[in-house]
Amino acid sequence: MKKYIGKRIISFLIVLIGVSVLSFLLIAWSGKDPAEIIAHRGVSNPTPEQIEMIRVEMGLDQPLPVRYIQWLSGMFTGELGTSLTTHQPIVKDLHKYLATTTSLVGMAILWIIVLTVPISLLCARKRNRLFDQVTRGITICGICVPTFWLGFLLLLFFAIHLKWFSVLPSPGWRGFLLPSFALAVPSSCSLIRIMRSSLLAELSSDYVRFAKARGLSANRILVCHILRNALPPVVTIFFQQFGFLIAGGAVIESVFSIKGIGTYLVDSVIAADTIAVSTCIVVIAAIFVVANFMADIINRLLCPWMVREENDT
Amino acid sequence: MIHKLLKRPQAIIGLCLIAIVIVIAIAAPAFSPHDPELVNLSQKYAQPDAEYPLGTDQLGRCTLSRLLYGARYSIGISLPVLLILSVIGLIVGTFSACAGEKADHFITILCDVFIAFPSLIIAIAVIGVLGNGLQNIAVSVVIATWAWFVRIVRSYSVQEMGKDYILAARISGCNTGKLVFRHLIPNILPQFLVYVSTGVASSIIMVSSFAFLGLGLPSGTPEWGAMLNDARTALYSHPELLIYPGLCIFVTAAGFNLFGEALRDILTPEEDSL
Repeated sequence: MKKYIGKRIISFLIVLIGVSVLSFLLIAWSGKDPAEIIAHRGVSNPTPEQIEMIRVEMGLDQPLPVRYIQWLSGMFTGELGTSLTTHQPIVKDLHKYLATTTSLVGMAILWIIVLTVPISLLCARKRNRLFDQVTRGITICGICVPTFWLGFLLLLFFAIHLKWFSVLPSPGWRGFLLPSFALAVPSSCSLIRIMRSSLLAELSSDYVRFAKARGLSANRILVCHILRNALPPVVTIFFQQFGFLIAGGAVIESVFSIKGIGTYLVDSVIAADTIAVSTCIVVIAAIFVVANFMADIINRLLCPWMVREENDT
Repeated sequence: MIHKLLKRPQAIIGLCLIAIVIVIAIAAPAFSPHDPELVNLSQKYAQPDAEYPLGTDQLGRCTLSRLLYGARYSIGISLPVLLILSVIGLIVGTFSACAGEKADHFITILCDVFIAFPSLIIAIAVIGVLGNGLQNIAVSVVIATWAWFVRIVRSYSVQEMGKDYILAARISGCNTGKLVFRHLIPNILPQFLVYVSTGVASSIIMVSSFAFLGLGLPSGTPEWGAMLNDARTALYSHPELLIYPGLCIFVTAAGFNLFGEALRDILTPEEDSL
C-alpha cells in the first residue's frame, strides 16, 4: 500500500507539473500580447514605447522559462496582477468565485449521491422489471440532455410557471437548488448506468452464491456484500465527473446568472485576459487531478484485495 | 452483426434519427421556407402561421429555417471531428500499446495531462487562443478530447495483445505494422465504434454549449446553442423559442446514443445472460 501511494504521488506530481506547463504554454503561444492589451486599456492609442515599458514592467521581455517560474511563484505568493474584467486582484477574484462554484458543485454532488445510490440498488434488485426499464429509458434521455437546456426548462417550469423560485439567483442555498440539480442530472444518469451494471456483474460471483447458500436475504446480500465490491468503478467515474461538474458549471452559471469560476473564465477569455485564463485553467485542472488521486486512494481503502491482484500481474 | 442490429428497436430508432438529421443537414436549403439569416423587423416574434410554421425570433427571422440550418453546424462539425479523433485514437493508441515501455509511459502521461483538463475548459481556452471560426471550434474539440480516444484504444489494444491469435500471427512471421492493421484494429473496431458513437453525441452537446456561451461563432449564426442564447431574453414572453433548439440538440444526441447503446448490447451479451 505504501509503495503504491508513493508511486501514485510521483505520477500525480508529474501530471500536475505537466498541467501547469501546458496551460502556461497555451497562453504564451496565443499570439496575443498582454502588454499591448493592457496598454490599450490605459490609453486609447499607445505608442510602441509605452507598450515596451509595460512589457518590461510586467517582466514579459524575459525568456519563457523565467516567466513560467514567475507565474508559478505568483500563484503561491498571490501576486498575479489585476484582472482586466473585474479590476480586482486575480487571486481575490479566484477566492470569491471558486467559493461560489464549490457550493454549487458540492450541492450537485449531494444530488448525485442521493439519486444514484438508491436508484441503482433498486434497479439491480428489480432487474428487467418495470422500474428498471423505466429508469433505463430516463437515464438514456438524461445523458443526451444538454445541461443548459435542462436549466432553462427547470427555470420555465419552477420559476415562471409555478413561481416557487425567482429567475435571478436568490441568496443562500435556495438559489443553488435548481442549478445544482440541472448540473447533477447528466452525471447521475451515467453513474446510475455504471453502478447498475457493476452491481449486476458482482451478482454472478462466487461469494454471492455462497452468501445465498448461507440463507441470507437478497436485500442483505446486495447492501452488505455486493455494494462495497461494486463501488470502485463508480468511485473512479464519480471523481472524474468532479472536473466536468466544475467545467459544466460555466454553462449552468450562465443560465442561472450565478457569478462563479466558469463565467469568470469565459469573461476572461472574451476579454483576452491571458493571465486570468491560465490561472483559472490550472486551478480547475489541479482540482481534477487531486480528485482523481483521491478516487484511487478511496478505491484502495474500499477494496484492499485489488492491490494484491494488481501486484501479481 | 448488421442483421442482429436491425432486430433491435433501439438501433432502428437511433439510425432513423441519425438519418433524419443528416438528410436535414444536407438538404436544409430545400426544406427551409426562408433564408435563416434574413432579418425582418416588422415580423418580430410572429405567431406560427402558414408563412412561418414555427413563428419568428426577436429579429423576425424564421425559426423553422434556423432550426433546419442548425443541423448543418452540429453534424458538420461533429462528424469530421470524430473522424479525425478516431484516426488519432487508433494510430496513437495502438502505437502506445505495441511500441514498448518508454513510448507507452510517455504517451500515458501525456494523456493524463490532457485528461486532467475538463474538455470544456481546454476547448474554451483554445478558442480564446485561436479566435472564432468553424475550423477553430473543430480544432479545439479535437485538442480537448483526443487523449480520451487514445486512452480507450490503448486499453482495448492491451487487452487484445494478450490473446492467442496475436501470438499466432507473430509466430507465423507477421511484422508489427501488419499485425496492427490486419489483426489488432479489425478486432477492436466494433468496441471502438460504440465509443465513437457516444462521442458524436457529446461533441454535439459540446459544440452547442460553446455557441451558447458565445464562443466560437459570430453572433446571429443559426446554431442551436446560439439560438438558445438569443432566446434567453424572451424567457417570459416566448418560452417556445427556448424549447425548440434544445429539443433539436436532444434528439440528435439521442440518435447517436441509442445507436451506440444498441451496438454495445450486441457486442457484450454477457450482461444479459447473468
